[in-house]
Amino acid sequence: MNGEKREIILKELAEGVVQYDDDKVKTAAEKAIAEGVDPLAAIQEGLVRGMNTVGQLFQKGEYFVPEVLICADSLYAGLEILKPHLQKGKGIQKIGKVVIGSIEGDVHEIGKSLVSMMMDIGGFEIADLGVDVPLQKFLSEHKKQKGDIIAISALMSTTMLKMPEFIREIKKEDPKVLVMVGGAPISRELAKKFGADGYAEDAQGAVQEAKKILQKP
Amino acid sequence: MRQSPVFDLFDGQEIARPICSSPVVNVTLEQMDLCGSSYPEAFSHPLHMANLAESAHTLAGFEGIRLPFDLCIEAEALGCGIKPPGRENPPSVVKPALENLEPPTIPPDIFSRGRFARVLEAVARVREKYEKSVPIYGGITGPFSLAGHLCGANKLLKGTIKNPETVMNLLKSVGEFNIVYANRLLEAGCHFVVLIDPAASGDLISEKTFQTFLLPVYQEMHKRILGKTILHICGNTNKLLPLIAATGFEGFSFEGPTVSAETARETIGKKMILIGNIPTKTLLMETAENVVRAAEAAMRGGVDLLAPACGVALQTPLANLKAMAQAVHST
Repeated sequence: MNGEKREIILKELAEGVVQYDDDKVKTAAEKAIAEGVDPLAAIQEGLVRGMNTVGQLFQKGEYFVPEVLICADSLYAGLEILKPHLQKGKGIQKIGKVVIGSIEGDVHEIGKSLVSMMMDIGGFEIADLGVDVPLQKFLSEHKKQKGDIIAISALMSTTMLKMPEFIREIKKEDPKVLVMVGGAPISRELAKKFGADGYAEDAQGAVQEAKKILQKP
Repeated sequence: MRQSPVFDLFDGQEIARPICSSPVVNVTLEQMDLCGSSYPEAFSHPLHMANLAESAHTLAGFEGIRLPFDLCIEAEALGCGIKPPGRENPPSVVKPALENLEPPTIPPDIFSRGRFARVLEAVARVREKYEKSVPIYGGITGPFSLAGHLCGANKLLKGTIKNPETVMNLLKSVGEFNIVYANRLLEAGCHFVVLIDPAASGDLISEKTFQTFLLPVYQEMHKRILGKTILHICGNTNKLLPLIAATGFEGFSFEGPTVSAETARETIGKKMILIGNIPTKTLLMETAENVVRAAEAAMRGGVDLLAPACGVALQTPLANLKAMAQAVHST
């Protein structure tokens, strides 16, 4: 297969994600398999590259939450086709394991789910505990997963107040785990005051921040 | 009984200075201890609901009484799964009631389900006691947020792109229900309907989505709600302000510091009574002096009614709410 054809397929995959065009993504994914494009490259240089563009469009205010959600659906539609073709042992190298959830008492889901999704797409292994997650649930899941990061979201100033205690207890249990926090009432300054290792303003930023604090490129 | 100047303001008269009067939830743990009515009883017991709502006026000095205290009344009665409230947490929606984005079936006896009757009774109690000496604000869950409760927010958001007609139908139907409930609240004695619609925030949706899906529903609600309505939307609404001004609603309650009083006034002009926007974080975590400073900035920026930017955190010191109420007298 010539390089030009490969580039076209990868571009179609990326564009399909950005244009939230499931059919375009599926067709390009089938083509990738038929033409012998390395499925890992199709995922990373096609689908994930497209999703990174989506993240940038979101940061620029050109895309909003509905667009990001359906772009991700398109990505997953392509992933479903490509994943079975990945060679054994040559799967996607995971950067790290993240246990994520909205803090106890807080049922805000959308922002946390966006972060969870972008981290998954960005190469992290995710255990998403959902919303209203008590401290013990974070701790037991972290222990089970032997994770690298615990990410906690709070959308209310009330629930945000529980963060320092959560972080203290988490660090007591496992001094090596890195804790990230986020959500509307939180700032980088507050995150630092609470004892968190990382903070991000949005989902795209969270992926970069997680890589940064794990010191992975 | 004297009539509150808040009514003059909404009737288009000039008033001497801003009034501290809040259409968002103003309940703190200190108020619960002092007034003898607490969460969770106050969510469902009319006497406690009325008593705790009143404490924003009697204890903090706000010229206004807001009830109820949660956004689950409608969702609960329409069949959503609810996590029950506790002393320090309001109830919350944990499970949607509907499988898809089709309009909900409203049972004919809807107002005898859930806590509707208790809210209406609490409203009647407060009204009987205060008449028009203090404005009574009745909160309802706005159409976009209620639709999100009923169907799941992610599904609703995706639907705005994938099934726009279905979502439009859903929102119209939810809006119809909002109108009926709003009019019940007014009939029971509320002076103002407060339409709380956090899901319609610019943090989640674009101007285009707001214009297509929400503006027509809000305009219809404005036409058919038999009283004055205040729209409250949290978060960043800067780009939505011109559309909000076109809803026809009489008041807009907004969140600082994301939306400044100056920006809101500049864009909305005199079309709406502007209400806000003292950050709940300032009220919760800062000194009374800083609260006063924020209040003065909001008043300089042009708010008509000084109020918290969003429902206050329960741990907020009562002294900070009092400082806010006092701040209007120093101008």
